[in-house]
This record gives sequence, C-alpha cells and structure tokens, in this order.
Amino acid sequence: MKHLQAFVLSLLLQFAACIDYDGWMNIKIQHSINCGGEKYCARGTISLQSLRAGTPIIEQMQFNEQHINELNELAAVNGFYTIRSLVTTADTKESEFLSSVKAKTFLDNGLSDVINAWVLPNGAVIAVSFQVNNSSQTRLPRNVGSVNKITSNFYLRQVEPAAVPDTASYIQKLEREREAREKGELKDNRSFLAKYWMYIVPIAIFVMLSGATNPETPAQPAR
Amino acid sequence: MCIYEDQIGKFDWRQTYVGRIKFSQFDTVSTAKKLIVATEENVLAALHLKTGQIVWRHVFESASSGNIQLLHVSDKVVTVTGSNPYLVRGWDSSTGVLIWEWSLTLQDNDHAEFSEWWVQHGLLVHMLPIFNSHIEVTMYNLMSGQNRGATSKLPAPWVNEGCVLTPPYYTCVSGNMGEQRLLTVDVTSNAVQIINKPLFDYISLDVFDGNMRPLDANSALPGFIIDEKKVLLIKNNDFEQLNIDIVGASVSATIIEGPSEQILLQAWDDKTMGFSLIAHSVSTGKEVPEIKCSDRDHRIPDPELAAVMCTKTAREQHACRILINGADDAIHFVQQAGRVLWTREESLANVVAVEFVDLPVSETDAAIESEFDQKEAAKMYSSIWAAFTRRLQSQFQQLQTLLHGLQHADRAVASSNTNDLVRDYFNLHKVIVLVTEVGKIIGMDNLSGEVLWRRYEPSLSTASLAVFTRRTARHPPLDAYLTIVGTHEETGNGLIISLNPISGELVGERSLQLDGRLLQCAMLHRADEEKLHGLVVLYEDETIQVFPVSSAPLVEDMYMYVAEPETAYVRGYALRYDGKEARAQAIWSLRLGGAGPGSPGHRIVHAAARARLERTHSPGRALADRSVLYKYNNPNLVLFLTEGPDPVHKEVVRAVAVDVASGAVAAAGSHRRARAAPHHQAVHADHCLAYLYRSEKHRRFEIASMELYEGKERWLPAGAAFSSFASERAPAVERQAYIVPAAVTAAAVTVTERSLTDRHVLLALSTGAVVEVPWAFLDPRRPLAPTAEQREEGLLPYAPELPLPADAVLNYNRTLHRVRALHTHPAGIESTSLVLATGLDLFYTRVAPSKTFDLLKDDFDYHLISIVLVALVVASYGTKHFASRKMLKMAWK
Repeated sequence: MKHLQAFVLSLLLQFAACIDYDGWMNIKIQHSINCGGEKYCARGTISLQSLRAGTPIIEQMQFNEQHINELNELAAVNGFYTIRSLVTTADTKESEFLSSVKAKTFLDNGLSDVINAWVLPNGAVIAVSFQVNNSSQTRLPRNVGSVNKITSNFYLRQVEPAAVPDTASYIQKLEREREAREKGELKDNRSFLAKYWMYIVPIAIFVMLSGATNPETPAQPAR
Repeated sequence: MCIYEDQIGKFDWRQTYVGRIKFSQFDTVSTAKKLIVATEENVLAALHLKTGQIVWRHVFESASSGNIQLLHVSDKVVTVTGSNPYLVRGWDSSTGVLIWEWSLTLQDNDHAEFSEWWVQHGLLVHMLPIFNSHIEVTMYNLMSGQNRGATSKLPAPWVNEGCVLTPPYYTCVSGNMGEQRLLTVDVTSNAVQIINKPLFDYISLDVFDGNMRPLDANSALPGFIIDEKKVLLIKNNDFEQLNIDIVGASVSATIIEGPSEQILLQAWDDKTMGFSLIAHSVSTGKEVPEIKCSDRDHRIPDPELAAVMCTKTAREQHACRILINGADDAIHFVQQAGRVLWTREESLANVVAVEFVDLPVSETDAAIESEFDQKEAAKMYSSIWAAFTRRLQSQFQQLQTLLHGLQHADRAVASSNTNDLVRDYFNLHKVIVLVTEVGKIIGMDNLSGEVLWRRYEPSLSTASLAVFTRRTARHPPLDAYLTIVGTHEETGNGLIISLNPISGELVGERSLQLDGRLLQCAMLHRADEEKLHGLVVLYEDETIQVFPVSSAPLVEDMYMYVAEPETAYVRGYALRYDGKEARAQAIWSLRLGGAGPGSPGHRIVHAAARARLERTHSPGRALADRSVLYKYNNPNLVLFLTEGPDPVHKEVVRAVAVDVASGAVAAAGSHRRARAAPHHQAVHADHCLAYLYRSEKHRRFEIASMELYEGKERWLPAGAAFSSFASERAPAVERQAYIVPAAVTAAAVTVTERSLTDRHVLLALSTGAVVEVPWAFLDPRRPLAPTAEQREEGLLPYAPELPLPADAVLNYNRTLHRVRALHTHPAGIESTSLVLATGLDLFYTRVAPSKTFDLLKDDFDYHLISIVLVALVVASYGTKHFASRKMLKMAWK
C-alpha cells in the first residue's frame, strides 16, 4: 500500500507540471447487479475538486448478500461485472464509459478494484477503466451475511505530451565535444596497459621468441 | 542490406502500372508505333504495341492538379492537366520528353469543372457550357498559348447537363416532355448554325429518358447513340441516322476510318457468347466479315472500345488492333478476330488488401507426412508388418518420382506452373492474394510475379475489407481456404467471398451476401475438426453470426473492438457461446477524442495491431549488469492514432495504446501542432510501437517510438499466459522521437517465423525508395551520452535525425511511385522476411534483417567444395596405400 501511495504522489506531481487546464470532475459509478429491473443502478461517486490537485473523494455503497449472490452467479458462468461511469466535468456534459471486470476475479480479490481515468490536457476524459489486480494473496474467507465493503483505488492519469526530437541537447553535446577537442585531447583516463598494449605485445612476443630460440640452437646438432 | 549487381532481379521483381485508362490513342506518326494512354491515376504513358510494356511513363500529382483533362496525339503528344489553373504540355512521343508547356487560368472558377477541351487544326479549343444560358468558346495556339481571338459567347439557353460533346459539335435534347427537340451546334465555326430537329423524327418512342452518349474511342465521325438504340451522325449540317442497329444497351460503339471505308464497330459482353465484336460498313450497312468475334471463354465485363486502328493487309483483308478497357480495369489488346495479343491488369495499381498464402506440400511429401501423423498411424498400423510394408511402399513411391523427375527433367521446365505450386524447402514460394479497389481478386506467384488466377466481383465494395486465411494448405488433403469480408456495392450489407487461394475457385460459403450491415469480423482462434477456423461477424444490431454454424460452440474467450473513425468512439465486445448460440456483450467503451460534444472533429486515423503471425521470442531484454528488463507483452494491445483540432495547439495527434480485450489504456501521448500522415503509417510488433506524423511546427516528418516494459521484475511467473483481465498495472513507457529526413508514404515492420531475427522498420519514401531501418535506430532508450554499461548493451548514442543511407534502399534504382502500403510475411527460414510494396507499382523482394545466417551465400562455390572433398578422399586413400607399401619395404629390409 505504501508504494501505491508513493505512486499516486508521483502521478500527482506529474499533473501539476503538464495540465494546461484545471477544473472539477464528477464520476457517477453505476453497475448492473441487484438493480431490480433497471439495467444500471448506482454504486457510488468519485468527485474531484481540482484535476490539478487530483485528490479524489470516493463514496461507494456496501454490497449486501444479494449483490454477492448475483456476483457469484456471474462468476459461475465466467461472466463480466459491468460498470458504467457517467463523467461530468466543468465544461462537458455527462458522457458515458463502459468497463468490465471478470466477476470471479473481482470476488477473489475481496471486491477491490483499480479505477484509471485518463484525462487529456484540455480536461476532457477519454477513458474510465476498471481493473482487478491479480494478487494471489488469499483474503479472509467471506462470511455470508456480513457487510462487504468495496475498496477502490482511483488514479487520474494524464495524456502526456509525447517526446519530440531532441535537437537542442544533441547540438549542445556536439558543441561540448568540439570545445573539448579544441582545448586539447580528450582526457584519457585509461590505464597504461590499456593505452599502449599494441606496442607492448609485439615487443613482448619479440623478446620471448628471441629468448626461446637462442639457447636451443646449439643443442640441436646432436641429431 | 544492399545487393550485388548480378543479384538484380534474382529475388525481386517490379511491375509497373498506369491505372485505369481514361484516354488512349495510337501513335502512328513515330517509327516505333505505340499506344499513348492517360489514366485516372494521373499517369501519362506510352505502351509498346507488341508486348504492352511501358515505354515511358510520367506520373503526375495525385491531387486534382494532376488530373488529365485531354490527351491529343498527333506528331506530338499534347496533354491538358490540372483543374484551374491548367497546364498545357507537349511531349515527344518517342521519348516522352517534355517539349513545351504553358499554363492557363480561367476567370470563371465556379464553372471550370464543366470545361471541355479538344484540339482542332492546331488550336486548343476550350469550351465552357453555362447551363441554360450560353456557351463560351476560346481558342489558343497549341504551342504558345496565344489567344487567337477573344472568347466568343454563343447564346444557347437550351444547354443542360445531359448534353454530349462530339467535337466540334455540342448536342443537347431540350424542350418539354413529349415535344423534345434535338439541337446541335458547331461551336468552332464562325457562322453560328444551330441544327434544330424534333427528337421524335429519330426515335419512335413516346418517352425519352434523356439517355444520350457519344461514340467511344475518338470516333472518326461525330456521332452519338440515342436511347441505346440508334446511332445519329452529324453530317452536312444535318443529323443522319445510321441504318445499323445497336446490339444492346451496354454496347460500346465507335466509327473508325478503315482503309477503304468507314466502319462502325461494336463490342459487348454477351451473357452466353462471351466477349463479342461486330463491324458494319457505315455507307452500305453491310457486315464486315473479317472483324467479328465471339469468344465464350474470354469474358470482359462491360468492355469499352478505347482505341482502334485498322489497316489493310496485302490480301485486301482488314487488320485491326483494338484496345478494350474492361470494367475490371484490365486492358486487352485484341486483333480483329478476337485474338488477345496482350492484357494489362491495371487494377493492380489500386491494391487494397494483400494476403500471403502458403502452398501445399507435394503429393509425395504429403504421403510421408500422413505416414508419420501419429493419429493416423495409430489407426492404421496396429502391427509392425503393416508399418513396414507402408514404409517400403512410400520409399518405392519416392524412388519412382525421382526416376520420373530425372526422365522428364528437361520437359519439366517448360511444363505449366500449376504443377509447380508446391511448397519449397524453405517455404519461400507463396501465393499472394491481392484484392483491388474495383473488386478484382488476383492470385499471384510471389517468385515470378505472374498472375495465377483472377476473379472479378463487381458487387464487392472495397472501402473496408478484411482478408482471413481460415485454413492453410498444411492440412492435406484439405485445401487452403481464404475468406474476404467486404460490403456489398449496392445494399451496403456484408459480403463474404470464400475461395481457394491456390486455384482461385470459390469454396465453402462461396459468394454470400449477408442480411445486415457489419460492424466487425474476426476469425476464431480454434479450428474445427476440418482444421477450418470459423468466421465471426458482428452486425450493427450487435448480434453475431458464425460461419460455419457448427463452429459456434468454439466461440469462447473472444473479444472484438469496433472503432468509429469519424467520432473516435471505440467499444469492445466479449463473445461467448451460451449453449444455444453465440452472443456479443458490450463490455467497454472509450472516447479517444475526449468526452462529450465539446471536442468534435477528432477522428481515428489508424489502428495498428500486431501482425497475426507475430510471435514473441524473448520475454525481456538483457541489460549490461546481467539483469533483465522485462517486456510488457500484451497480445491484445492496439495502437490508435487520432487527429483533430485543438483550441490551444491548433492541431494535435494522439497515440493511445489500448488493451482491446479489457479496454484499459496502457499508454498515451499527444503531439502538439502535428498532423497524422495521410496513409496508415504505424507499426506495432512485440512491445515496440512506432508511428509517423507530420510536425506542422517544423514542417517535417517525425517518427515517434514507444517501448513498453514491465520493469526489472516479472509480473507473472515465467511461462504464465498473459491475461488482460488480471492485470491492473500499467507498463512503464519509454518514448523517443526522431526526425525523418524524407516524406514517408508507408511503413511496415519485418516479420520472421520465430521472431529471433532483428526487427527492421521499412519506410516507403515519396522519392520512390523503400528504406530499411533497423529498430536499434528507433530504440527509445538511445541515450544522449551513453555510459559504458549502455554501450556494452549495444545502445546507439542518440541522434535526432534518422539516418537513411543509400545502401539501405531495398529497391536500389527501381523507383516505386506512390507506394501506399508495405506488406511483410515470414518465410520458412528464420532469417528471411518477404516484402511486397503496393501502390502504383508492385515491388516484391525479401529481406534478411540479421543477414542470411541460416542460408549458404548466393554465390557459394559448390564445385570447389566438392572437388576439395573428393581430392581429400583420394589423397587419404593414396597416402594410405603408399604408407602400407613403405611399411612393407621397411619390413623386408
């Protein structure tokens, strides 16, 4: 959890740098279980006072037995738990996003999910996606009848300006190299052997060869 | 990368095309007779009369400024191109060299599109009809552009949209229904003389629907066909009705200046008789016996006489050369008796989809394979004896084919190539199935570029198209199976065409029109018992249909996405079989243009998914410190490129990488003041993404690359399959952008069998070159000042400009015009990837990104190595012999 917080913090710092627009955002979360005839019914809301600050206020309902049973039914057929998010921002009307998680993994993870909302630099939202982490840590066995709290981690993610060809620093690098060349040779901090091995090796070989042949020549004529 | 001079044409070929013929004329003046053609693709070319090959060719701008308005061939070739301003140019007909040029701008820009041009007595005539008012006629000196006189205006309130031009006459039908009159005027004569006759003097019908068309192919006499029944000629200031009947409604007719008389020639495609040709003498109305043909086997859809030339042979016979343009964009050059001299498949100038198909193994190989096929083996050979006899049999068969091959070795070379359509050892030989814009499907041999089969589907609209190889030829005796999913030309409903890609015959669903409009289509992952992958189509009402129906239970864990290009709205569906039928459920949706109506105008330019044949070889990248940087290997990742206006940065290009199974966004970036490249220019392979865009700020092309990594630790245990629904973590994204010092028209990435080989990006440039760029140059991790560790890892130091060296040009000096797409496909050997560039020209070659490490060199000296081997064997036995003799001698001493 600690590293998650650090992650959120770093994300928040990023926004402060690259968002050109600030405003509020409100996300209504609706899901499709235990709705009593309706296709979607409310699960909770996420509201942000400021996109730049990015601190969300998450209010979500608690699941009751009926919810869990319906989720279990979906999980039995490996079905999807579908969530509809209705996003309202300062200057856009309500817009709808769909997202789904596998009901089985959602249950296995103790009703915890991760919500990512991607925001453009102009404050418009392109995606609200729900995901379930695949942590294999076994949760406490769920005792039927108790209240079931949904734990959601919300991340506001920014569509960052993409990289551009970095000509300026490349030119600077070339300049630096040129200056270094003008000042004199680049400082060579290699060791003596590394620098002059090409002279040392032939000399060594020559010495070895001459040393090896000389004493043996007189020993030869015996045969 | 580059090849030696003697390797030219060894593994590559280029085919040059001109496009659908718009105007054509014989060049009879110069010594080497040619056909001069001007095309819808804005190409002016000269074709050789004997072979149909291009003698010279000029490719004009593809925008409206290159549109060819007029082609006139006399001693020089004259063209009028553009659309206000116009360029009038004269070309040397034998060499194609530009001789003179002048430009012309019309004051009246609103009506300029109705302009008509022709050349008369060395003057260029420009006629501009202003409907229900008058006709403006201006004449210019052809060579200099000097205006002979001011524009003359002929008052003609009877001019309407249905008028036809048969230079110099302009003919209209005017008046109320039932009392229509036929009016014509010679617009170039000094004395305005209007011929005005009641229409019903010529046609007996009470109702006339205004159907009037001029004769085709630069008719020798000004005339037109009225109501698809009668030919009217304009002669001596009067209409003259020909007493020759027009054969049918879709007949192409023209009058030619024969050697002794004028001949009316008619060509049509008869339902039962095939391509038919008939000729009558204009003066006598008698049939000309020599010029006649009806060929049952030769079919030309809606033939149109493009150019005709007739001479008389020594025996007083007509000898004609007729150029026929079909609705399928093919041009046929035929003789008077219907014999085809050559055919050009001009639809190949507009290829919309390409699929490489493996060839089946030869019969003997298939027998061996079936012998070792475990299932079958268990079934058939319960005893050792049965297996042994089978072995002997197949070996005997092999021996037989070998002997047979030796006997007919010389004859086999000349034999027809259909027998040769078997897989070679390295699986380099394939069939390329090309779908063209007019709806023609063509099967092509990839080694020779020869057209194996062609099939014209006039009802196939190719605006959006998908091609699936549903069964490869790897499963003898079952044939390969290819399906093309498009839309029906008239109804807009889905259209499925299934065929055998080796022979071109329809199989399975054949040509099937579906009942509704399609949103998406896909192929099932799992094959049925007949090794056929089912085809799933998603209709607009979100119902799905599976072909064949028996494959429906195989729909499991299937996901589809539907992207609306104009609204940048993307949604995903999960497909599942519920015991009775397959159903689609909408599970996610995204608005890539931004939510709400507040940001209109954003559209998806391109969606780049991984190649279907792409494999991932390694899960990570080894760093210098012996740790591994693990790749984010999501097979469901698709890169969407969107483009649209922005209030702050004028226009922006956004790249969003989306997991299309779960709808989660993996990475996103936006480029300010940029426009997307006009064609599909994004590549996606493994964990690497790259896309091209035009930077409006710097007015240059740039390529942005992204690599997605999990990090130094694996998210999943080794060998575990990736699941989009069980990963909430976002990958780390490495990004970089490079300047491309050229205008890029298409991009692709090489694919190899097992992805062991390096990955190269292929870029087609507007200069006509296809350049191979190693991914190492596009690597987003290239550091500005590499440390020793990074250098050890093999990262190149960063340079903002992408090098495009001349020796990286795949097509050496063979310029390719307007390359629209590059297609890659793996060969059977790991080192090699097959490449086909489509555009106005076709170019095929093969590339070896990591050099041909698994192949002997092309000029490997087999003779030398066998001589050396034999010499060594001889020498070793010789020395053995001498050594034993020496030993013997020693023993006797």
